[in-house]
Order: sequence, then C-alpha cells, then structure tokens
Amino acid sequence: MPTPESCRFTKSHEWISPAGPSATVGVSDHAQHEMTDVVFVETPKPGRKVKAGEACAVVESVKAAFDIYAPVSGEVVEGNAALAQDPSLVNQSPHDKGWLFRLKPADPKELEGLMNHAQYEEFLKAAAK
Amino acid sequence: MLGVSLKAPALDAYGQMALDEAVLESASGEPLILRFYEWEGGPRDPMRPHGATFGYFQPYEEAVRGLESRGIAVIFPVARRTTGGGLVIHDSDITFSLVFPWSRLASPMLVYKGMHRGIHLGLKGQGIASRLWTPPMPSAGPISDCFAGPSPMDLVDEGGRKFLGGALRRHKGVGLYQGSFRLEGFAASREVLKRAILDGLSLEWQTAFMPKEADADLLDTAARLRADRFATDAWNRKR
Repeated sequence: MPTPESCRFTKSHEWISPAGPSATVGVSDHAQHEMTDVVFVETPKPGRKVKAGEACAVVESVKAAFDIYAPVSGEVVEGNAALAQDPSLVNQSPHDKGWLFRLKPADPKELEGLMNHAQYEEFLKAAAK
Repeated sequence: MLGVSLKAPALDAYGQMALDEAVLESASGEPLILRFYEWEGGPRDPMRPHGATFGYFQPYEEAVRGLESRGIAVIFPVARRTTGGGLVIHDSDITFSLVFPWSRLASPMLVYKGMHRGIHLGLKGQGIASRLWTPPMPSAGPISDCFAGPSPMDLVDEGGRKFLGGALRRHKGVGLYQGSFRLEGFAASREVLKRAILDGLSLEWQTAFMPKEADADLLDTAARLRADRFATDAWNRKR
C-alpha cells in the first residue's frame, strides 16, 4: 500500500507510486475530499499510451465530471476494476483500494519532476491562501 | 472579470455538445463565456423535442428508456454530454452553458450553488420567487432523470417544483456548466427569463456579458467535433 509520504504528486492532484516496472496512480486525499462523493469512475484501457498531463480517466461526483491526468508518460497496464462496483473506494481509501490505474512509465526520470509529499502539502497551503 | 455572451447558429443536440466542447477546449477561464442554445427546427413541444442529452456516465439505453417511458418516439438526436448528471429533454426549455474559471479544485456543490444563487437573484430582480433546494436528509446518489425531482442546490419554485438543473465538468482548470431552465408555470416571457439568467450570472461573477458572434474557426472546430465524436455511436453508445 503506497503511503502519501512514498508518493509523488502533480499540481492537478494525482499521486503516483512506482513499484518495479510499473507505477500506480490515484487522486490525493485532498482531491477526493474536494470532489466529494464519487459515484462513477472511468479508467483508461490497458495498452493505451498516454503522455504526461493527458486526460485519461474521468471521475463523477455531484453531477460534475472531473478529468484525471496522467502524471507521467507511459503505457497503461491495468485499470482498477473494483471501482466499477464501488466507486466510493476513491473517497474511502484514496491511497490504497481507491487507486485508479497502473502504467509503465516511459521515462522514470519524469517522476523526479513531480512534487514529493512535503512539497505537495506546501502547494496545498499556498493554493488555499 | 470579463464576460462574453456568445451567439451561434441553431444546432442540433450533437452540435450543441460539440460547440460547448470547442469553447471549453479553447478557453482559459477568462473571459467567462455564456451561451444560450439556439435549436434547429423551430418551436417544439414535450412530445416532439429538439433533442435530449444525458450524463457522461449514463448508459445510452437508460436514456432511451427514459424517453420511451414518457411515450416519446426517439426520432431526434440523443446526445451524451461531457458533464455529469441525468437525462434532460430539450423541448421548450432555455438551455444554456457557461465556461468559467475553476482553477483551484473546489467542491462541485459550491460551484453549482454559486451558479444557481446568482440565477435566483436574477429572477428576484424580475420579481420572480425561487429558492435553492436543500434535501431534508442526505441525497441517495445519482439520479437518471434530471427533472424527476430536485437535487441539492437546484432551483425550485415556491411550490417546490424544480425548474432549473445543471451539470458540470472540470477540464484543465476550466469549468463547463450546462443548464436547463424549464418554462412551465412561469408567466414571464422567455426573453425575461433569459435576461434574469444573464443578470444573475453577471451578479454572481461580477461581470458584464458582452455580445459576440462565434467565429468561423470555432464553428469549424465544433463541426469537426460533432462529426468525429458527438454524433457517433462510439461516443453516444459507449455504455
């Protein structure tokens, strides 16, 4: 289970946690809190090649559809099938059971350009001002 | 903040969705872009609507069943929106969209409430009473028919009848709101109600919406999006 401290974050509130050749992607606890009750999730299909910053998943809450972006470029290897049955996992467990998809990063160096947890916390504080 | 009231030619439901997408894709959040839909084919009635739209996650067959259950023959465009929510039948409603800045991730309920609070005030300025609906208890998830009953922060009349509902999308820090205002029960004219919507959104966003014609590039982009996505089975029947 990736902890927030072990993840990298985007300014659009996705987290990514590398493990071996692939990396797991989800939305941050802050994001799920702001989006409120998630009722639908669409994850990208395995095999899809995405670029960093590309919209590749959609989450719906309260009649609002939110685009979710790929934190890094790569090939999608798996979507979280459990979310089709229980999309509220995104709210209940954003860093564990509520992960969205896994991808194989094209260039692991792209991860270095993302925020670590402390930097993300600072980013949230600055955005709230 | 600057605002634009975008004028565009009459379109069908696929074309309306495509034009909203073209506007959203080209927008940075400022100016705000308000558009009242013009529908192809002249005045319609509940049994012969211009078209219907349904939420991004809604199954196509569910939308069609919702229409057929009212005895409506589905001989018009039924278009999947990029926004959430449920089925909306576009007959004589005032349909409109607003593209707005949504840079900081904020609760969609707050955004939705702000839109409808503004329109409530616009209506009040025309002497028309309305209120934001709040549920007696927490709501029970998504509904398949937008006007089957009010959702939190929809606008209802004094009798509790929902007349304004909407749906949202957030894309690259810019928001799209698509709204449907039902005219039944109002003595005021369509033009007065459109004025109230415009005035209310002006108040909420502290802007004046300056009229502007949609340019050829934007309409070309919308036409391409209609043909390539919004009028295709791959999009509308994707689930």
